[in-house]
Amino acid sequence: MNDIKTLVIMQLKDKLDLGFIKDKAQLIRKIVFFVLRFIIVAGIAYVLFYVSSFLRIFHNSPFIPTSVMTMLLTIMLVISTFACTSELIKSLYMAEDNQVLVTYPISANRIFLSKIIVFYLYEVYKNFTFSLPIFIAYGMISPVNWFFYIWVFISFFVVSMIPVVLGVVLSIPGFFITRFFAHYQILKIIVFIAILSGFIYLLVRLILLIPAEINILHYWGPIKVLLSDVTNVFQNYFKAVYYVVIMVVGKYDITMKYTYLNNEVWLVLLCLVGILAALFMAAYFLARFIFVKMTSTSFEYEKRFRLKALLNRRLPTFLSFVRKEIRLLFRTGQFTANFIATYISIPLFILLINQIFSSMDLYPNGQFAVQAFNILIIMLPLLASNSTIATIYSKEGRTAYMKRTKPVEIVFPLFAKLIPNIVFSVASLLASLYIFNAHMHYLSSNIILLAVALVLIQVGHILFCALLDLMNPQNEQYATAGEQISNPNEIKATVFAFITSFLVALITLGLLVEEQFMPYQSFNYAFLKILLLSAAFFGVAIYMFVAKIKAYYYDRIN
Amino acid sequence: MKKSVILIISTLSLVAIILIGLLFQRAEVYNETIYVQKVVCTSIRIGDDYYDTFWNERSQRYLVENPEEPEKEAPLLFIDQLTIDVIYEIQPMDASTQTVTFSTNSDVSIASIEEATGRIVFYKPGIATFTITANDNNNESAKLKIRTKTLDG
Repeated sequence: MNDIKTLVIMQLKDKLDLGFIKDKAQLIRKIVFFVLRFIIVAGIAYVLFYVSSFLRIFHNSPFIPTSVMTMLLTIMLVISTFACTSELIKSLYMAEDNQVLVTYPISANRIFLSKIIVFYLYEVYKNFTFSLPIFIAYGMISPVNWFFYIWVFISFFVVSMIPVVLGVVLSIPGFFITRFFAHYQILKIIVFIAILSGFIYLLVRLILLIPAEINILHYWGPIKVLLSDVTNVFQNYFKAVYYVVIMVVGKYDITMKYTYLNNEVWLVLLCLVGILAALFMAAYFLARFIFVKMTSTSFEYEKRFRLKALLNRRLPTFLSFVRKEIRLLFRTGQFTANFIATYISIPLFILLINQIFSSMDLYPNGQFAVQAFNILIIMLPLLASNSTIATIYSKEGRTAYMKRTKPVEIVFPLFAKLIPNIVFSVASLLASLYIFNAHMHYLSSNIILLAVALVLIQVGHILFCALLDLMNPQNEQYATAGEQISNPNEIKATVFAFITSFLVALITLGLLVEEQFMPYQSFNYAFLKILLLSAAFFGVAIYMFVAKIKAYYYDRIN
Repeated sequence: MKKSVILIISTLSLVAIILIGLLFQRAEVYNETIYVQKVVCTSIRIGDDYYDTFWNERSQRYLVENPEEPEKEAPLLFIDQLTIDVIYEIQPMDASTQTVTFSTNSDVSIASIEEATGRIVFYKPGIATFTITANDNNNESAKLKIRTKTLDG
């Protein structure tokens, strides 16, 4: 048993960074933060429950029904199960550390078991920081039994098993699907694009369903009815989760008090443990077989390169660096995730908020606020996503020196690295502005001036973020600690993004109010002024970028 | 992008939309008052279980429906301190004032109802009738009749 314990601790150190345990001060700080976080989550949940009770959101009644907790737990379990499945596929069958772990004097079965225990402990940790405080808050507003406050802690050890066991089961077909797509990359891309397009299409259709007139106060009634119906759907169709909720909070008795003096509660607990154990055992024997097979055939996933002779084509210096960066970018899925999260979601978000605003009949001051708010919402996520630029050179780790060895002006490789982000972010910005203008109907000259101004701010901010990385490189940290470091440049870039976005939005608001500009009016000097300010910002950024490259790249070497 | 940044942006947007909607929407939009036209008792809740009610033309009251025989009244099994929540709907759904008051003229030794919450407690088996009255229009109300009996009838 000790060997499993050692393995678990070893892997937990990787997942949770347990270095604080040995340092007493750090340990106390961690515990205080954990408790604070627990209290904050419970506090927020309590306030939300209290407001729901006060406003009689559910069935026009001040009492929060169990169905609300059924809905919340279902959502949390679904998310956790998906996360566990995807992580388990990687960790059980495709992890690189498997090949190291199998060299230890311990059986593969135990390694396999230790990996699942690590996931289970991580799930317990996640539940204790999020789901459990929500249940405690629910207990505080509901007529629960005193026993609830003891039992809820114990029951969450059982609840945490659900996503892990389901994850182990689902990881088996998941593994075969992943393996299938790994062999047919083109199919993988087609399926990915099809799912993404379908999702975007559905989202746009959903956004366009927003009614033409919105009156927040008058819609309150239908919203309440809808929320009550949705919670009832969860209670009726997710019976298994409802029984888990009963197991945690107790069963509402005939006097409308939660009690544990009920066979149903204990029967559910026994059934749940039994079903989980049976599922786990079945999946364990099957998944273990795949695990052992995968670890024993270590080169299973090494790519079989098809050698193909290509003619060496000489490209202009800058273009060849850009080409290299594009290739590097799409080699890992990391950029794709960031690309979807930011560049695709911003235009969709702009469509959503403009659809809402166009349904409101606003005073002129409201029109100014809407225009400035649109600019804020376009710029804020775009600029905040530039924080990754503040890590772009450092992430190269110790290979960064290779740039210095190239017999070219250093500005070429450094600037080429920013090109993909500039291109995609500007495309996203222009798409967002197109949607914004489709609702606002600006005159072409006004929207063009605004678009150029915002593009200049975006590119200028990218240059400033890159500069932060150049001035305070973190290459050594990335080389030794990997991706999981807290990069001060990233934090500075995010703060700078917030300040810049708010300033841009406030200046725009000020200028629009000063000029009393309405969207349908003709050419307006407000946009010319915004453009001039942006050009100044961009000018400073480009000047500093070139000047600092000289200071931090050439002069530092010498 | 970091999760915390996404959370801040989402919260900010939600707050801004609500604030702009409340502060800058033309007053005429809010000044329109929609009165309650009808109060409907849709169901009752005992514990986590919901029981539908139906409108009985003859008695002009809502009655608890037998799940196996629609449009037939089902008596509830009496247990001391049997507690029931009244679930109702206001029509039209976008009425300006959605609040109601609950009351009963029945024998208080049989059952009582909380005026604000609509929670009914039965103390002994019998029949009790409860009234749900719209606060913006006293003429609009719904009556609910509940019959409870012990196992031996």
